Amino acid sequence: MSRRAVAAGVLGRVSKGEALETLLRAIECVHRGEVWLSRVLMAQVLGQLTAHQTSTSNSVATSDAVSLAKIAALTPREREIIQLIGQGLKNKQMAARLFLSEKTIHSHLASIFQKLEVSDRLELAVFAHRHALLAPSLNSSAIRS
Amino acid sequence: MRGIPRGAIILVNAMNSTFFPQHEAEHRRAPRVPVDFLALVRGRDTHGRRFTEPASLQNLSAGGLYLRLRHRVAEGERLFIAFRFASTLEVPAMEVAAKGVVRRSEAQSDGRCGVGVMFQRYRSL
Repeated sequence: MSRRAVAAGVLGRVSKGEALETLLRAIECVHRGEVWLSRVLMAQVLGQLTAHQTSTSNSVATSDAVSLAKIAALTPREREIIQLIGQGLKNKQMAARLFLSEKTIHSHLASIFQKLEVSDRLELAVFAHRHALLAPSLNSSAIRS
Repeated sequence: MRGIPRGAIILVNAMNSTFFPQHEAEHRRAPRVPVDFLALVRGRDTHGRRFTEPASLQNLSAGGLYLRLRHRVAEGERLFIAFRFASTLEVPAMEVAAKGVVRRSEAQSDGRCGVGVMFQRYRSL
């Protein structure tokens, strides 16, 4: 019996060769919210679950490592621009704040989008919030994974 | 069901189908981020009445968001949502106006309606 079967809600298995009393006990057991599986099957299911969780954790860790590598590629100026975007500033306002031309801001943004593999300001802001790249006051609810 | 031998009786407790979590690992293209952002939602409820309601986002991705409303909305309904990347109005924050369609609408235990919205278009304000 696979993890998928258990995940789908299977809580017990009784061989057709078993006595009727055994089946009734199994039904009562499952009705109480318990499980009726042999020790071997239980070990297999738990083993599969553990393997699945380890695989999922590894996948998350890999994803985090990729994100960290992307963030590490940002220059201090690009990080500054990301913070200003989080504060809601437009390109013109950022240019004025940083004493740069709008064209330079646009160029920085293109570089940020490319490095972080995002396609627009919203996607950038969500990424930045997720990885705590925004100003601390805006980031109070960010979840660090 | 694959993996279950013939000659066996499978027992399922219909009252308790959450023995293990039913959902598999998330494979969304745009990962959801838990947030607590201010929002203003405009749309029509299940009675067809227009409403405008302040709300707070529960999670957000580049593809959509999830929030809770006092009004009930039906799946397929279109909503206008304005939100800011902050939980208060006091701090400067990026603001976004979005139009989207309700993909999930579920009654919650406190009487509110949990609403999952997929963006159709959006722009920063």
